[in-house]
Amino acid sequence: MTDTPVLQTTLSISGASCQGCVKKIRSALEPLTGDAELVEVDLEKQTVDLPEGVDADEAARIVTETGYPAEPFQEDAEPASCCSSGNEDEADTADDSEDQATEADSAPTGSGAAAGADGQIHLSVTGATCSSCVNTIEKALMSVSGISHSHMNLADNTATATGDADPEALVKAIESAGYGASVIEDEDEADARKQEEDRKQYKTLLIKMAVSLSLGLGLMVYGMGFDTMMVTDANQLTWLNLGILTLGVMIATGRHFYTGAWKAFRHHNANMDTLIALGTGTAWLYSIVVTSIPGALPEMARHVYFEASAMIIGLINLGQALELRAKGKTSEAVRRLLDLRAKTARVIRDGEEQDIPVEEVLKGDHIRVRPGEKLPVDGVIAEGSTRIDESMLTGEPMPVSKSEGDEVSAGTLNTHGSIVYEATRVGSDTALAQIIKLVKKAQGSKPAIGRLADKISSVFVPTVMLIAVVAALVWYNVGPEPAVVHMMVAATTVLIIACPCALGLATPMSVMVGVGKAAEYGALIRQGDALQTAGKLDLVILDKTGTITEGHPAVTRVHASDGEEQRLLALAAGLEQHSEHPLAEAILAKAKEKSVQLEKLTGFEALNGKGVQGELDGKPVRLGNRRWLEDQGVTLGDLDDAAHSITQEAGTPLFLALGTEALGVIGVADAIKPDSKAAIQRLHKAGIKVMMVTGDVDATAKAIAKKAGIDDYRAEVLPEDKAEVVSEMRGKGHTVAMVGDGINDAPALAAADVGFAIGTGTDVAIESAGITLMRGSLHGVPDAIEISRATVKNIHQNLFGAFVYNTMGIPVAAGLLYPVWGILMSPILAGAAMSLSSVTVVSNANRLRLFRTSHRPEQNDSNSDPKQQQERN
Amino acid sequence: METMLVNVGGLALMAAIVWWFWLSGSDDTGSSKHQHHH
Repeated sequence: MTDTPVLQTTLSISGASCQGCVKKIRSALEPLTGDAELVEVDLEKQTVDLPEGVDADEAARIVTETGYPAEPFQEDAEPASCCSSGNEDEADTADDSEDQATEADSAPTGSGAAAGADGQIHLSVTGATCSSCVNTIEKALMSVSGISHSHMNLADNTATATGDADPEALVKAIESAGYGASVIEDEDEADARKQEEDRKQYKTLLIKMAVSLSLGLGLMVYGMGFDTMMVTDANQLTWLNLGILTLGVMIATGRHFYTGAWKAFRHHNANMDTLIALGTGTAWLYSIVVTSIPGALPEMARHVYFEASAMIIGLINLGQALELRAKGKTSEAVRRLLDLRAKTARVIRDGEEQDIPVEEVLKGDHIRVRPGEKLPVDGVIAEGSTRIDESMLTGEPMPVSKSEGDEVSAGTLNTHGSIVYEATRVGSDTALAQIIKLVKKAQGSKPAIGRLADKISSVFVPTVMLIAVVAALVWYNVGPEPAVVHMMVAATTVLIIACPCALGLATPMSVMVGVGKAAEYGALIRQGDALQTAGKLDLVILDKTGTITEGHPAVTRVHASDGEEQRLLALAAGLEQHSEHPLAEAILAKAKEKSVQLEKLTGFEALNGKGVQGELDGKPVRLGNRRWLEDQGVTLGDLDDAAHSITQEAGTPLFLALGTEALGVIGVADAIKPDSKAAIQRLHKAGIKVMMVTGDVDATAKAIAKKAGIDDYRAEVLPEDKAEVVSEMRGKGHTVAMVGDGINDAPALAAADVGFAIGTGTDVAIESAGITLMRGSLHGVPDAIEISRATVKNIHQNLFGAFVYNTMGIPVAAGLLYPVWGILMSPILAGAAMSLSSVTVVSNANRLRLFRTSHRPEQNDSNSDPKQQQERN
Repeated sequence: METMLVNVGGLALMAAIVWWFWLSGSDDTGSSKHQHHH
């Protein structure tokens, strides 16, 4: 397009993602251009090129109406739509536009809100109450062109649409489906607004509940105490007036049910509102017919049910109010994380310290943090040293020492000294922001079990309507007199009791609480599926270095052939000072500890997988493994005993030779983390087998496995083969978790049923893992498993309760017990039971918040409870 | 007569429910058709 910009009219569009879209746009523009073939649609750049002379505004209007928001493209202006290559040098952007074209900003008309970097548009939804609503909303979002995936989270009333579409079109789609929606642009603002809205809605619902319940109760007292519920000539006018009053109250306090039901109906959907509207509507309509033309019905059938309509609406409003309050509590985990963020930062600019809002901190800024202050952004310490309390992020109770060059994270607390640090990640890039995003996303994700519940409930409502009609017909045909009354009562009660709101809430509420609970323990669960699978694990495979062990090797033994240990260390450290290997660090640390003067060696060379070598006075000095040194003609026989005891202690022996003379052996071992053994024991108690994979030699691996209490191990496994071990064990029928820390573990993490990335780790490991452990401790694995089991159990309880309630409630409501015991449930009781079922599900999910894992650290308890830690801060 | 009317009405209502919510779901077919492109 930039080749011939003058000759052509160009539109920038959004939402076109396939050849079908191209065809649609072409045929829509055919009347304007005369020939569809003259219209060039570039999906990659999201542009439409038209022949010269075509009215750009008119063309944009037509394309927008076709479903792809468009506007005339201006060469010198910022492109308003998703296409970024229009005003830039095409060659520069062509390469990366391929993927981004569909994911970048999708707001075509400058509506500000746009898809995030991940191509997702987040919406806040109001009015959704049950799983049918979820289906309706997801369907409505999918019907917007360009959307490839949609997901609604009932627990926090947000919806996410993935793809390339105008956010406003998504809002409209949801609105026309009968719900309210707004685009979430600023997460904080959205949270604050949502809290405010929830508070308001809670109050409104309580007022509505009070009004409708008062009327219902009043009518009941009047009908039963002072008059009769049967319409007679004497009270006909009174009941007629009361009926009109009831209608007024029904509209005032239950309008949202009726409008919701109507909008859903128009879209061929049925939801909880449908059932309530039909149930209360039927009761009212029947009663008004009775009061208006009592003569049309047999005397026994002249019963009014105005009080039922009013009370049902009152009870359901009460249920929704209670639900709203309980829902607020479940997102506390996220709110607590959000509260960790500092509001301001003390930035040093041009030599002056100034307090600025944290949003204005730039990458590279130097920030001063005094004791007792929170760190505003991520960075690296440039000056000073301190102890930092990271418990809020990692669950690790003890503050960690940090000095120059160490990384620090936003949201952590500086407990000790004053430091200056350089901002490396700000805004939404900080670890804390990422964690919040991750937790929110996971809280909204649905495990497989939840998707099943959704599927069932989408056919549930229309089925219930059919059952209601069948019940009515059966009562009419074979029921006792007054058949018309029984028919109406049965149908109404079936409709009211069958509301699937409890079913819709069962999974998301538990997932939300479970994921939040796991986050409190420093385990970030990325998807609902990981949560579900973690509960079923029967084999945990652990990577050795950094997972079971500290990951920082230390010298455990120095054995010199001639007893000159100082000289041995001097030579070894003299060699290793040029190396960056972790083993070198261990040897240098030991030399420093023993105040050894390092030997000066020349010609340093590191040989991968063998060792290091240099020269001293023209003679080669080698430090490395047995095989390499023996290949070089060194005889190591005298050192066998020392080497053997090193491997017995789970260490790695490094042999040192001057020329062909063996000088000694140094044992380097990576110490097992103090709590690894206890964590492994917890896994055993949970009935889970533990296996270790390591690149170490068999003797070392065996020693470590024995020390840590591991059932089985695989030694000398190359990093790239770890994934194979995982697949092999899965092939044997195990449900396998892989626990690892590094990039090289990523394939194994991804291959496992559940991958645990340990430590704040690399992004790659986190991306490949279903669960990320913020703490270095292995206890995170049993913690996460215990929480998963508790959550899945909770989901099962909820689903079981909801299903049982619905499957038992419907036949009872339909009157199945009537022939045997003469029981026919009243619609009012059905309304109360329905509200109670949602409240029960929500309360049961909240019960999870009290869950504690079996891990009880030995230090004083107040320090060990991550929750208390967070609250204290 | 009345009985027949009620029964026929009930059956018609059931047919209408099935037709409206299952057979004529114009919204879903529209969106799923679109999805097949991807």
